[in-house]
Amino acid sequence: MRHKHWRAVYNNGTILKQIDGDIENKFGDIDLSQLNKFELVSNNGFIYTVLLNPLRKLIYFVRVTGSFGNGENKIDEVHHIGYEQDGEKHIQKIND
Amino acid sequence: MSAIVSLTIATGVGETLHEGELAINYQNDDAVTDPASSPISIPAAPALAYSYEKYAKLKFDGTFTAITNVKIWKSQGVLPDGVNIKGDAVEEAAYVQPVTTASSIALNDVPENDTDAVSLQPAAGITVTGSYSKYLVSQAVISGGATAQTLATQTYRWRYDET
Repeated sequence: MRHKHWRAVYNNGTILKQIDGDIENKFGDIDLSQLNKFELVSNNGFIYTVLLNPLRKLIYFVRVTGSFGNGENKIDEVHHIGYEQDGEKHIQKIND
Repeated sequence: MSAIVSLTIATGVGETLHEGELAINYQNDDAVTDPASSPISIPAAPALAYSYEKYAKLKFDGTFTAITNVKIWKSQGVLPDGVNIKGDAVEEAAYVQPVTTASSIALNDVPENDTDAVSLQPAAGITVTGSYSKYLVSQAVISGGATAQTLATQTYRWRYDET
């Protein structure tokens, strides 16, 4: 179970949450054309925010790394969050 | 929730899938059983001996939009003199019954760092729960005159990007 989940805030103020009660929305459910800001919310309440505008393209994915063969089942998850503007990518890496 | 990844190994003529495996066992048997029950005989030099090919792929369940950049490499474990593990990727549709002769697919040493990792990203993409990566086809190659032993555990590391 992840400790951080995204929240999409639209220009009209409505919000789409990744986890909304018993429902889990997918990243692909976000209407990127109407996005005002994208937030990554930690279970402890800390929020990472990307402010968006028509010149900024949202970047977000989770890089998942794990292994087998050594008896371990440890999985590392790192959120990559940021934006691309004028051909330059600005990404922050945040451990889950 | 999010994507849930697990290891699947295929054996047999008809691609029998063994879901939820924890390891790839290199052995003289097209199976996922304990390799100690089917050891590979060491030939006289300069001949080579081969384990059965092992077809292993990652399965993605759970909730996600897309899985990309799937890679695998061997991250830990030292191979003794005279033992190599070869491994390369093929699409799922390319599955054929594993052989215990020299593989025509697993030709290169399994890379030991993420920079040179084998890509398991299928051409069709992974966007539906229950989908698989490409197969990693791997095979242990034993040189004639190698010392008889139980191969120490090797660790494979995998990585993917999820949205």
